[in-house]
Amino acid sequence: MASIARARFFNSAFKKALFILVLASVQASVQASTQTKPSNANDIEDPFDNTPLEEPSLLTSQNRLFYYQQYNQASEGEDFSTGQLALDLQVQTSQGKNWQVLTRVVATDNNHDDAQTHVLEAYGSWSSESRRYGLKAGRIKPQWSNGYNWNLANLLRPYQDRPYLDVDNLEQLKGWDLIAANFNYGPWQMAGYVVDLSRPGQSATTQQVLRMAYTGNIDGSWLVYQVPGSKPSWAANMSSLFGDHWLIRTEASVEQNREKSSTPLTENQSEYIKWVVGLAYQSINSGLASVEYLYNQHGYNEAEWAFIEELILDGSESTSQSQQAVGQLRKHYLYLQYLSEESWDLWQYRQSVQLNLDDDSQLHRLEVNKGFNDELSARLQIEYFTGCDTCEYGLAGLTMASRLAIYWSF
Amino acid sequence: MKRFFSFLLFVFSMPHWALNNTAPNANELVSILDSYRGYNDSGFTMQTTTVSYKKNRKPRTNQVLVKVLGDKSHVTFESPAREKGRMILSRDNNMWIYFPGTRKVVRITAAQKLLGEASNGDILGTALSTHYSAKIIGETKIEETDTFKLELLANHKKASYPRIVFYMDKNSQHKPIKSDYFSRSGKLLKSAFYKGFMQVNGEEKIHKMLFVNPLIEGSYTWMRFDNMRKSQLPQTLFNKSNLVN
Repeated sequence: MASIARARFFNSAFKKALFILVLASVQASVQASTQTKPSNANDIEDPFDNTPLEEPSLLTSQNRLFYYQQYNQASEGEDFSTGQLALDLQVQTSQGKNWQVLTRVVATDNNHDDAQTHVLEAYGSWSSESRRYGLKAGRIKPQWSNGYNWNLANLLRPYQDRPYLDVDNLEQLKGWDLIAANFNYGPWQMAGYVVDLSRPGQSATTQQVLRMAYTGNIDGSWLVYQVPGSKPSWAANMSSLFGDHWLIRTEASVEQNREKSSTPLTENQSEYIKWVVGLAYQSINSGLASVEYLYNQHGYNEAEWAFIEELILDGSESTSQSQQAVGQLRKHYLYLQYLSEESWDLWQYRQSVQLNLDDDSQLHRLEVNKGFNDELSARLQIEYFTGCDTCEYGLAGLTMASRLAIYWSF
Repeated sequence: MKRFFSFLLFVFSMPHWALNNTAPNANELVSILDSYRGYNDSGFTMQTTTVSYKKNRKPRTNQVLVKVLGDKSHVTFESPAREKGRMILSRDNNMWIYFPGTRKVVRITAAQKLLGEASNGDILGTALSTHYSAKIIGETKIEETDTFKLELLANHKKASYPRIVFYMDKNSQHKPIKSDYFSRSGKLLKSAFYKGFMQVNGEEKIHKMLFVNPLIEGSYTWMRFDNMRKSQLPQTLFNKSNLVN
């Protein structure tokens, strides 16, 4: 009874918040459409005083306090809500041109009863005067992928990136303890990483990456990943512009180990390919539209999925386990996204859909972002899940989820 | 004696065209423009404050730290707080944006260079002499000042604006007074007024600019450049891989 009352309360609160956001948006666009005449440059007052601007500080910080409340409409009638309060602190300091130290710490409080603190990153870096050589040591979150939705080139384990499922989950930004060295030559960079892999059940203590990257009209990178004693995996990506408005990007990985657990119907295979190709169009006034296709050899084929479906229907396979596993469950996916330009009044709209082409289940997401001033902003997000009970997005157990997040940057 | 040395310093700091009576040609005027905007092929850094206005709206302010080396630039957002730490790397027509929250670097299209009241294209593009061919197309009076009317046509399609018309003071300093920026279709997109200059190590540089949108009443942007200085910027600073870990 209490959960139904709470669900009704949040449902009502979200409807009100959505109404206020839409009303303010319409009001802003009506005001904007009334401006049509030129102005005289001589009448425009200079807003600057004559005080000299202070030099940039060597100690900088980027901090954020945010809170979200999510209302989940479950497919089995047991609606529930979740929330999180998080403090994201990042401090960076430089000593001359060569030395830098960065620390990023986050404290989260889930549903007001589970406070946790994580050091997401903490490292020191050095570079030579010409920046040709560089060294880094500590906990670092490298991002080698260049895409919107799928990050195939991020090969380090444990894999934590799940941006499509929860953009507010800061734990996915936790780095790895590593030592890195890089050599730069013009637009080229060669870098080597030795990364800690000590975790239960793992005999190797390190994982290693060698990466070569190029910055230019066509930018790209190539990575080789290896855990000592096993065969190497690799990944490559590139992106390029077509004219002023179009850009294309592609990325591929070949890994030795399958992301999914095997079934009795799984054939022996040693290399698993993933590749993604994406195209984006930027309009000057109307925003950005993008499409991406993912092929995922790690995913289950029809026969394997039929076996998994049987387990799910028997209740011997936990749907939550299936959902929380690394990577995607099936082989073919499509992602479509539209992102509007940020309006003068700091409104921005994003709509996206992720389609599982094997079982036709879909995850739709609508986001409205609003900045209230230089520090305060908010995001209203509505997700809609479609698909059968044993389809990927049907497995989520949700039909709809809505989240209101408030961010204060300082 | 002190006055004499001041005079000598003044004379030697003057460009060669100021010492003879011949009017500068179009190419010399473009070089002069570039010298007011930056340090040509030498690296330099500056802070840029932008205040944008729209009728019946609250003005928007942001501040960025800009590092420029030839056609490459590296912009770090210092304010507002919700955008702090964001970076934009630009090499020729290629641009990448770095989001500090997610540590992601994403390529963005050239079209995004032109977004906003004072766009990235206005802040980043400095070497006009590299990208444009110039021609003096007349003389006119702008804001009580006699000016040369200098037309710049882009040498290639990747330039931010295909045509720019500068109005430069006819006196010996040849300061820019105004410039008009046109689209590929010939439409006037914006006009810039050069409202203040500053001395940086004996060289005169633009300090304040006003961009006016001719199509929308009350839509204009002020830009102020501070702490401009030459800097030994390594080429590798403008490498995408160095934006992120």
